[in-house]
Amino acid sequence: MTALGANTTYFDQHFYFPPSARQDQGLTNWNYQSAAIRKPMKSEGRNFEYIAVIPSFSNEARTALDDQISSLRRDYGFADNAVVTDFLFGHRSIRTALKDALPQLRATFGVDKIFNLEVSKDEDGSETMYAVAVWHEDVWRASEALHSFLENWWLQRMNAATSDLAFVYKLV
Amino acid sequence: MATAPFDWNEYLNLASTLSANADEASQRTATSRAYYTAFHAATLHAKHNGYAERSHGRLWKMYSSDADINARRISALGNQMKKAREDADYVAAVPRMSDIMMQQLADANTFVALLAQVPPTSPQPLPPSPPKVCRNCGAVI
Repeated sequence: MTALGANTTYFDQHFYFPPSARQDQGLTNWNYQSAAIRKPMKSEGRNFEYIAVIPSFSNEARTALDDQISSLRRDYGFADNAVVTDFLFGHRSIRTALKDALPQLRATFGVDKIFNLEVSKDEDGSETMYAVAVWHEDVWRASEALHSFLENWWLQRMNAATSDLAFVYKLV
Repeated sequence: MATAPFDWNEYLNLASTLSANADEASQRTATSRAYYTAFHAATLHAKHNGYAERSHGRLWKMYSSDADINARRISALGNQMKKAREDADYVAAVPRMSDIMMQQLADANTFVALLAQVPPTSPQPLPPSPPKVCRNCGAVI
C-alpha cells in the first residue's frame, strides 16, 4: 500500500487494517476504535454513573470465569497449570465443551479414570488442547472407548468454535 | 527431468517393516512415520480445495470444523495419531511404546480408508488465524 499522508504512514506501522480498509488509500479512516483517538462526547458526563458501574460488571465476569476454570481444575488434571489456565481463559466454547464432556467421558472410559488437559503448541504457533484419558488397560479397549465417545457424543458437537480441542487417550 | 512425486504411503510400508523389530527406536520411528502417512494424505486431499499450508494443528482444525462427519472423524483420529507421534518423537520415557506403535499402525490404515469417504469438497480452508491478544492489556502479541 502506498502511504499517503502522516496518518496513513503511522497506521501502516502500528495497526492492522482489514483488506477492505486498505482500499481507501489517501483517506483517513476513523472507523476503527483501536486506531482512532476519540475525544469524549459532550454528553458523556451525563452517563458517568453508568460508566462507573462497568468495572464492577467486569469484576463479576472475571469472578465467574475464575469459578468456571476452578471447577474444571477439580474435574481435570492440568498438565501445566499456567499454560492450561491461560488457554482456557481465551476459549469460552472449549470451557463449556469440557464441562459438558465429563459425564460422557466417565460413561465411556470409566468413572475411575483420570482426565488431564494439555496444550500442544505447533511450530506455526497454533495451539491445540488435548483432553487426555489416562489408560492403564489394553490399548484396544482405550481405542474402543474413544471411538464410542466420539460416535455417541463429540462428533455431533464439533464445530469451528471447539476446533482447538481434541479428545485422546494416553497409555500408562 | 521432472522427479516423480513421492508416495507418502511408503512411510506406512516402512512403519510396517519397522514394527517387526523389537527395539524402541524402531517402534518410535514406526509410530512417527505412520502419523506422517496420515498427515500427508489429509493435506493432499485438502489441496483440492485450495489448502496450501503445512501446519499440523490447522490441518486438523480445518477437518474438525467441516460439515461432513467423516471429515470430523478424520480430525479426531488425526489428533490421536498426532499425540502419539509427539510422544514418540519428543518424550524420553514413553510407557508401552510397543502397544502405541501397533495401535498407530491400525489407526493409519483406518485413517486411509476413512479419508476415501470424505467428499472432495471437504474440508474447506480456514480463514487466517486472528492475531493473538494479551488478555490483560489488550495488546496484539
